[in-house]
Amino acid sequence: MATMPPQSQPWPGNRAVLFVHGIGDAKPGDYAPLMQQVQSILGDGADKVAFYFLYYDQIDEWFASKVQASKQFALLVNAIRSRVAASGPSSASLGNVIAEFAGDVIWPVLIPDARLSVRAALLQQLEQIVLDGQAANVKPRDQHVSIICHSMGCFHVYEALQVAAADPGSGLSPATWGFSFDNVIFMASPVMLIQTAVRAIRPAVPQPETIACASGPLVAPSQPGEQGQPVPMVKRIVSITGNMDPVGGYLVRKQLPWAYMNLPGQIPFVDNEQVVQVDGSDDLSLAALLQDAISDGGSPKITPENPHDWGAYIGRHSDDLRTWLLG
Amino acid sequence: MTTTIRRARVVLARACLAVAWLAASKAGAQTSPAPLDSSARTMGDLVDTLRAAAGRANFANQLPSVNASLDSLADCFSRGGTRSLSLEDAAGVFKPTGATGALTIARWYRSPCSRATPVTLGSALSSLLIIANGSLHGMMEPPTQAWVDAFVADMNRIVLTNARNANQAILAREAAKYGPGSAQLNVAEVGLNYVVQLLPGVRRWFLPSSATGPTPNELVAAYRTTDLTAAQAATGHVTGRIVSAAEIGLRRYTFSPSCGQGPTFVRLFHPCSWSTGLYVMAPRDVPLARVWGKDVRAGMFVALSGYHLGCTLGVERRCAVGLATQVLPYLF
Repeated sequence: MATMPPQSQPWPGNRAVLFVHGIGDAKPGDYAPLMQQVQSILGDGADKVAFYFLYYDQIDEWFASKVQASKQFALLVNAIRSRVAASGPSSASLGNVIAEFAGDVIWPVLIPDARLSVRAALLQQLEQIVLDGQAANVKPRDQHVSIICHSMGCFHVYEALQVAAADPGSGLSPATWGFSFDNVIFMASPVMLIQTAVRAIRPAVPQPETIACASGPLVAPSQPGEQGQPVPMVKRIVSITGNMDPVGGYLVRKQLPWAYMNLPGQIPFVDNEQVVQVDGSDDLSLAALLQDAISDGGSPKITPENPHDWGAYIGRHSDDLRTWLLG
Repeated sequence: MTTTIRRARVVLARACLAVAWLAASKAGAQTSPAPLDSSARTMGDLVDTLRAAAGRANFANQLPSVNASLDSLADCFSRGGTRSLSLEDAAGVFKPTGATGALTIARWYRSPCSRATPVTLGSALSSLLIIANGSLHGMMEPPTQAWVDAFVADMNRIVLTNARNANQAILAREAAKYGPGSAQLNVAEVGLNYVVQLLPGVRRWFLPSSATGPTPNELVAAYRTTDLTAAQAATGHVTGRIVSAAEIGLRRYTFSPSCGQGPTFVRLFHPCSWSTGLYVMAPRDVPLARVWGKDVRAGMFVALSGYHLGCTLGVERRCAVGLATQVLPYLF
């Protein structure tokens, strides 16, 4: 039996959309409501689109189990909580959140096999999508494929596309095969945040040269063309974040240059978001905000108050999505 | 004298090339590309079609540098015998594992244009496809464009299938090493296997490859307190005893697709991993004893899947068997 086989389906038209989720513990089917939300936005046009969803949390579970990290990270969380709690009555939850975030991001950064595994899962899914399109007699040049990613999923998409663009053996490199994506829509991307983090601890990161975002300035994926000019792999790159979303590079309406992803040529959107107070406490608001921000896995909670909520991003850009995905 | 002969050869070769190019251009102007349903399409067909299209579009004047690249590639393909490379063989050159056929390389080996490696051959094929999908594509007449698109799409389908299968193989190997049923690491092993990936000189043995996935190597550093040995008691009877032991060595994953399946006996001799290395037994046959310092007994161990056998050498030779099951999670 194949390990994490890619999703495959017949195409009803010449369009496909792949969703890539963020950190958490999402199981296949958990994001069905979100996909239904997008289908609803597209209306009748959704009937002509093949929808794919990449679930990859199983891979993170491999590594957590291998190094028996779950309880170790629980110990870490407790240690941080107890230390931070000493600085204020409401700070413990913030420390808890920070520790959990570290646990979720640590696999792809510190374990080369973890990032290679997710990349392989993502690439095989992209390859299967183009093959499904070919099976429907849509040549790669005529296919309209888009990717919508959220949070940590944006990091994996960025990494995979950089590798695929440069390698003709992936079957996806734009200059060699004439294939390109219509859209890659990054929602609350932590790519720049991870670049900053990896560069800060580079000596402690095994095989850092295989982390594309940390190997140079952030660039749109491309392949040198016939005269050496970059042939873009993506026709339209969109970056959407919220001005209260720390993962997307904003903290309380202030852009953090070391955390905000700014790809050359991207179409940027910064949504105006509101924070609700929790029990009248600003500290608790920030903690709750961060908690929601990093815990997008499992059954997604579509709450407009959560500045990192994937469904909220999609809802705010429903008209744009209709134009981008069907245009 | 030698230089003169070499120059004469170059002039002669260029003259032949010019004649061949003119002939190809004329042929291309008068004939259609090979039929779409041809099952024996070759790289030579693609080269001829592109050069004919370039001739009709006056490509040499519009983009002389790209046209020169096309001529150069055509020359290399022709003189190297690569024209006869079928679409399927050419697609196989892009296999991520670099498993290019010897025949393919042998064909390219005759080429005076490049060294015979999968990388250079793949690079040449990719360059040709880049020209096919580049500026020239928009200048082609519709039938030629359709033929080229079909050629590229058919080749792309094979490359995509190979790439997808290669990624699937990587995932299968990663699952074998890190997924359910794989050996769990204790704190010391987590640290060791992390640090060894940072050490120049040895890290390449412990880092994954983007082409093949995880390395089969993993360091073992385990403290066992439930190994079972047999020894003669003071009464003369042979009795079983629990001993403390330590293992420091190397685990190798077999990555065999059928490993670890079937009954215990079969699994033992068809393991998903095996390991060997230094085996150290405590000075006395008691559990939870120290395995370092004075009077420890040293030897070697061999482990298949979760079962291991360790033997010490020296004055008191002894063997012990045990399971890899950790008594205390994270520790030993």
